[in-house]
Amino acid sequence: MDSIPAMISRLGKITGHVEKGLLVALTGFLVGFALLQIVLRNFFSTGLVWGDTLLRHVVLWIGLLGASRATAENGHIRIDLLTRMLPEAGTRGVELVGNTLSLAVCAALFYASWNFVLTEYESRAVAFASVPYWPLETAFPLCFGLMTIRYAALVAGGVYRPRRGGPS
Amino acid sequence: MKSLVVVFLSAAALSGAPLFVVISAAALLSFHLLGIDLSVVVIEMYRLAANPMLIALLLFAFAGYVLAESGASRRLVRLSTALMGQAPGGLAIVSILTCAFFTALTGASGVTIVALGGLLYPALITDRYGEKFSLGLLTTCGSLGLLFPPSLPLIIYGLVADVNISHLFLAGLLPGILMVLLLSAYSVYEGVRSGSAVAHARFNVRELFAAVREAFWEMLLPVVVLGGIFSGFLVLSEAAAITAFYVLVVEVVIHREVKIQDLPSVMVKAATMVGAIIIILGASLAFNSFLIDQQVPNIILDFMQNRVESKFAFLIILNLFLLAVGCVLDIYSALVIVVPLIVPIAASYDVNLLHLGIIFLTNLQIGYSTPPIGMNLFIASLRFDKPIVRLYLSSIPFMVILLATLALITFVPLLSLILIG
Repeated sequence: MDSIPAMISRLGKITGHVEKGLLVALTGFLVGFALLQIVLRNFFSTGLVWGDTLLRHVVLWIGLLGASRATAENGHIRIDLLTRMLPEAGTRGVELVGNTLSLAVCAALFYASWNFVLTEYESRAVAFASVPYWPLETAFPLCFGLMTIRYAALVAGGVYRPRRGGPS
Repeated sequence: MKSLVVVFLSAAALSGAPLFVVISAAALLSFHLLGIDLSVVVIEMYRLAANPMLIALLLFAFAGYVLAESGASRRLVRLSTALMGQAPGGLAIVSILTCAFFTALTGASGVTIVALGGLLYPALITDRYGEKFSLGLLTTCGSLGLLFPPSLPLIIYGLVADVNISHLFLAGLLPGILMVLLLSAYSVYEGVRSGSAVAHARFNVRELFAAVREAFWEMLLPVVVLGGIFSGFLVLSEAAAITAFYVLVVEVVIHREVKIQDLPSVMVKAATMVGAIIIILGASLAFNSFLIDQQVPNIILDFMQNRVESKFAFLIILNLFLLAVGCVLDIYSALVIVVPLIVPIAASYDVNLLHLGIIFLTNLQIGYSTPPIGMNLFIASLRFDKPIVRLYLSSIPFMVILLATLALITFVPLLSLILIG
């Protein structure tokens, strides 16, 4: 019985490392590429035409992966008026409600973004060079998928282990 | 059905569900009730990728986090102490100036109180400022500087209201300086009254020189940030890239306080903070398109125009409303949710949108320190280990000054607009 939670927590850690690695690589790339564009534009009066589109999508990826990290680290912006005023026991119940809603919404967003990417895949619109839009847009289902799983874990933790507080 | 949805979502918001979840739920439910396919919500969110300003947002935030990680706060405090430490109220003014500088670069994400509070609070107490004054000062200063470039909330306002962000930076300068001056004046008064004005160290040219030399590269930072934008050489996102690069060179290569191996964790921290903002921004893009589709801004507009005649009355109502918003919402959520609704109304009362932005941010800045859930109060309570009620009381005199500034900013539009010409 102990091995399943252990496996889940290991999977969670691996996902976290991958997310962080991607964030670091993308942020590094963003700084470097933005500087390159400035140099090209100001000193060589040229620039990569598709560069801006690429950079805006890099930021989209960073933002969405960052939001996914915020879910993992409990870093989302919230109005926690009730949980601040309630005693410990009430807080857990309220948190369970909040997490369940978050789970439902993230699942719906995952479903919606999956459909969105499918439609885009079929349309085969090209973003730049010969890169189509749809792979750039997979950030949405990826991010909402990860969030769905994280909230599912939080809800499960809240239901099965209500006495020990939420999972970390 | 509609009112049921509203009740449900309000309950969800109060129960501490992330705001992006609440706003997305509103968007999903609204479009679902209209019978529109849900992928429209994601299509609207995807408009995020059409906006070049998000690059600036991320890069400025990254630069701010690198600064927060370095010893920049210590150097800035030393520099301003060498400059001002001897004047009556000197150390309090030092606190005000360094907090404003730091907040402009890091956004009011609590970093200022955490990074500077620990340095300044013991120093203020040693200098015989009262505990109440010192706590109030540092709590309020945690969000001072939001009106100075390149503050993230200014960029977000520009993004949501669709106004020129460089102009917005200019518009914030004088109101921001006014706020700093008024708070400084109060500090001088308090310094004289509490007897801390007795100079404990005489003005020392050598110390000033050493402090300048140490903080030299950080002193150039405003020039780097603003020079590129206002000289017309760089667009905002490019200025942000240069700023990030400059801060990296200064803190990693010159001062060597941020190690290369620390950079990944700083990047992740910055991305997590910006991600939490961007996802709310995306959700509100979707929800706002529903509101506009349903002509909600027009309905509010008609309602207001039938009841409020003068611009003067409108501005008073606006301020009361925004102060209330600032009490319950944090600055980023307030911006993305409220700005799209207010902009058309303000325009119909002939309020300049740059001026509106400054009014907006001043209100939200005050909201950071107002009970019951101003974020500064909680951060300060944690940082200084004081009960929150004591912080409520300490902040009152500062609130009064900030409210006076707000009145000036609101009713003297020229203050915000004169630099734009």
